[in-house]
Amino acid sequence: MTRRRRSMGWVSGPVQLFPHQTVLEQLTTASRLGGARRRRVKLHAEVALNDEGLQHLGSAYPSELSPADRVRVAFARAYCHNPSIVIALDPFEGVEASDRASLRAELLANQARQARTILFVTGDSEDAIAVADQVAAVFDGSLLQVDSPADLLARPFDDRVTALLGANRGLRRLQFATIDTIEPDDRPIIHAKATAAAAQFVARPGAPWVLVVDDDRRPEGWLDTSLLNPDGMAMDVPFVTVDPALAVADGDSISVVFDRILSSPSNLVPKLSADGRVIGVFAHDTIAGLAAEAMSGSPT
Amino acid sequence: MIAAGEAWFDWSWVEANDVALGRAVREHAVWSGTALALGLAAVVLFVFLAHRWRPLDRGLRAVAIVVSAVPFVAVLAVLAPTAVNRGYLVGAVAASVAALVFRSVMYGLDGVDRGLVEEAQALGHGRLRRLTRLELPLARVHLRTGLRIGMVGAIGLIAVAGADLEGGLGGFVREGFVDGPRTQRVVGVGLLLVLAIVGDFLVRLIARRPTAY
Repeated sequence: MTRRRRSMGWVSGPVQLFPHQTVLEQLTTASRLGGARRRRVKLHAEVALNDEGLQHLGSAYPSELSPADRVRVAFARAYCHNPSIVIALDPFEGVEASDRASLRAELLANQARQARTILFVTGDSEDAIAVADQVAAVFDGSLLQVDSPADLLARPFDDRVTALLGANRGLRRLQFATIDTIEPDDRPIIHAKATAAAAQFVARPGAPWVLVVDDDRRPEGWLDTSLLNPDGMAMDVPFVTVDPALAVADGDSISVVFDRILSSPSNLVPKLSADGRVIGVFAHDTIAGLAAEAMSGSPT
Repeated sequence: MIAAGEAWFDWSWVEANDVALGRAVREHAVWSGTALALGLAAVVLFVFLAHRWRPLDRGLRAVAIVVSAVPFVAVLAVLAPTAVNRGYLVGAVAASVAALVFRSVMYGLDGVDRGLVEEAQALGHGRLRRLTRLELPLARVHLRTGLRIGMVGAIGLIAVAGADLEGGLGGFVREGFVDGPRTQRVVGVGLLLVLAIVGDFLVRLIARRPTAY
């Protein structure tokens, strides 16, 4: 039994690290138990720490770490002897919601870098939907459904699976529909040197905001055309800065676009090409229609 | 006998009896050290056995409670039904010290977070590795306390036993009470205190309090 355990990686929440060992010592122990030769265990541990970007924590004790860093160290410890499978039992338990989102993203980035088989057991459907390739829905000891997260959200087997998935099932499906094939609106975009009349002309009906771009079609700012004198120039009114964090690009999901539209002062978000040029903008009314269309078809 | 008006401390008496004093201190230190070493060796064995087999754990704890609760002289009597000699004396003190330290160590092991022990099990730590690499280091504060109690206990109990055997500082003080001068008693008790303080200091020096975590 002990030998079998040593062949697996193990993370269980709330994460328990040995309080009397530094982070490097925790990994050294795991590496040794995983079968590494005595001379190489420290090297293994250091490599694992570097891979996870935790080298700055090597000499820290668990009491000096944040809950999220403890989870990061626990995963590094589980990975460090290259196990055939990693078992993670509610590893994000006890971590703040904001840190959970980062941890999920880091887990996915890790998997993209080096795919490992992880059996991730959780009672939080958000975690399951966010990190899994395949989700097994278990209720009261019975396996009810095994599906991809998108299929699980789209077609839960019965009310028990629906209950397990929790609220906002429809909205959460939007994270699996990307905007790659959706054409943004390229009309409410004007050049910085355009006239006020031109800016007012391109504005969407009932929505005064337009996106001002420079010669290279890079975003300069948002312009509220209702403030313009029709006989003047667009530049007469100060622009509202475009927050780069609120721009979207290929690969982003409809749910991300929705979220950013709601956060944008103009209720519009620019879609940028890989080199940062504006392709068009998304507005909530157009994206709502596209979302309904995406949800009516097969989940992607 | 004590003469009326006899001084509490007479340096000239100390100078005249320095050889006897040195021998008493040496005997006391060697007997205490031997009893402590034997007691600790027994503790290592008993802790390992108690950790390995649960029924033994309960039995050893019960014996330790009895041995540490029964007055030392009674243990001595059990160990030496016919005659008291140095071997019995050191053995009896070692048994008492072992009982005291064993209880302290087991108390420390009981305090280790079960979640951590299960985590170690899940990570593939074997029983012995769990004991030596996780549980004992985490019970370090109690180990240190047990060692301090054991050291001071050994020095004190050897003094009581030494009074019987007319050896060590115990015998030295007893002799002072029977027919020695007042200085002999004062110096004997003083040296006993110094020995206990030095012993305690040594333990504190060797087993430092964990501060890193």
